[in-house]
Amino acid sequence: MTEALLEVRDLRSGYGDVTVLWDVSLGVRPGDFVAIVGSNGAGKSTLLASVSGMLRPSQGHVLLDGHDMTHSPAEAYVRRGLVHVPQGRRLFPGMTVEENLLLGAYRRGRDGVRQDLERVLETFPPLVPRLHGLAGRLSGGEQQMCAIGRGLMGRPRVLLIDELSLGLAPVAVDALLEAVRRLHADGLTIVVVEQDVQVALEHATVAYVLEAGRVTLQGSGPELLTDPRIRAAYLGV
Amino acid sequence: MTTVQQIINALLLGGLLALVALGFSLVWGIMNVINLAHGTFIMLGAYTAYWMFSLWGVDPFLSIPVAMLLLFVLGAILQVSVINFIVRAPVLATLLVTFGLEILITNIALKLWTADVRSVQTHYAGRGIALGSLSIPYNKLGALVLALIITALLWLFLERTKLGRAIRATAYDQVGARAVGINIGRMYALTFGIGAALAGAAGALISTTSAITPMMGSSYTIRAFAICVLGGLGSVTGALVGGLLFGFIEVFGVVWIGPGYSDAIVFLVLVLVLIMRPQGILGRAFSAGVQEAGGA
Ligand SMILES: Nc1ncnc2c1ncn2[C@@H]1O[C@H](COP(=O)(O)OP(=O)(O)OP(=O)(O)O)[C@@H](O)[C@H]1O
Ligand SMILES: [Mg+2]
Repeated sequence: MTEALLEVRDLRSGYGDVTVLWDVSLGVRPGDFVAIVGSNGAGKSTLLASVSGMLRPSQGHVLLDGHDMTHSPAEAYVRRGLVHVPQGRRLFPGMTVEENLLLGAYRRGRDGVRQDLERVLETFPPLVPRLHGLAGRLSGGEQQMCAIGRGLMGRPRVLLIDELSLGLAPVAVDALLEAVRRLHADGLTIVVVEQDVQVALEHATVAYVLEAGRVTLQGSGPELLTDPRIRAAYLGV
Repeated sequence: MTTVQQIINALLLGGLLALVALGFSLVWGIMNVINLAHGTFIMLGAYTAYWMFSLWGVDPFLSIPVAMLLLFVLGAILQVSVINFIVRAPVLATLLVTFGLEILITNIALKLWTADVRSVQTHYAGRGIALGSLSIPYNKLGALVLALIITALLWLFLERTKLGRAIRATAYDQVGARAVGINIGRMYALTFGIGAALAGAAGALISTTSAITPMMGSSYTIRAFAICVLGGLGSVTGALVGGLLFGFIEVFGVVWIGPGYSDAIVFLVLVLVLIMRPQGILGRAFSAGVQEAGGA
């Protein structure tokens, strides 16, 4: 087995006294396209937040390239190449799209920032005419592009995307999926939380099913797609 | 006095008041803390200039960097040790804590320097440019120019630098800010430090024109509050417009209503604006983001 890029061991996490994640373990290898699926409130966002320094786990370990990051702040993860695109986009609405994107490079030196900005705009052409407009004025799909673009500006090796397509128009979803697939083909490791289980599993090289804060199933995307339990619970067939 | 002279006076006062309000507005807009101790930072800036002048003969204008540095350090320390607990806390908590700070700092100043009224008498005090019957005192003109320069520098810092952008981003969305690797605590310490440094600069400028006492701060806090309400919260242009407007209101209010009523005029304006235009004249640049981040 190749050395895991991101490794999560027996992770417990939650909010205050409330434990949401119970002993979750998973591994992400370089080049993986990982999908995390589960119903509302299963703890998907809590998981992503706990493996990106946004939330402090109460027990267990998070390793990035073998380094123990369990108690590191989000900035340390960003510096080490793991960037989290949070649920709800969390853009800076009163700032321009360009400023939002440039802030994605906050943890880096100036080198190559302009080139990376160009590349992000090539990945998401609809952002070009909106570059000097406020991020708060973008459509939902454009906001998601801006959020992923902002994440890419940090030059991640692993990109965590929480709810890629939630609440977006089908056209926008297609464009975003296509862009993410291309990023993956170009070598970026991707972990995505996606409520459209069908779509998520079709793309995933590895998938985890999260139920009530525990991993209940795991396997390759296509494998899980044919699993009767998945078909009954998430695909309604 | 002619109307033209009053307009000049209003501009001179207004520019300085913009600087008085700037740090207050920044801290309120970015951290959602209404800092009632803001005036004490102005007082400390004025005392810095006073002691530099009376001990070593340093011109108050040259004391500005020293006052800013001292106040920046004090502000950053206060943020980390005290203010950090009330960032985005309910308004009452921020008012209570910063009011406590105001009392504490004022009383320490009283103990150290007594209640004696002091002033800085530079060699150019009382002199100025005379244009016919009009006069523009050197110290007030210098204060205006420096206030405008510092205001412009803050604007450039917030709009054009990486750090300034990160500070604004923090106000808009804390989760988003952390996701790109911004250290929120450091941004708040920086913001509060800058707010205090701006107050320190204002204090050093005020020392050239006004009496200095440990109690001088509170009237500036009230003015800063009124200016923020007038100009809109958390934006540099808001503070500038609000400050200039306020200069006019104060100067002409005194002319029309009478001297000795300037505090009453401040309150009157405050109440009127709060009734008629609670979002301020230029709208609220930061507060939309603040509410969004705070409510999430
Ligand atoms: N900030 C918070 N404070 C307290 N509890 C929270 C917080 N955020 C989430 N929770 C709780 O933790 C549990 C898991 O939430 P989480 O957001 O991780 O689920 P999710 O799988 O991402 O759901 P969704 O599909 O709705 O995004 C839920 O019961 C939720 O109520
Ligand atoms: Mg979620």
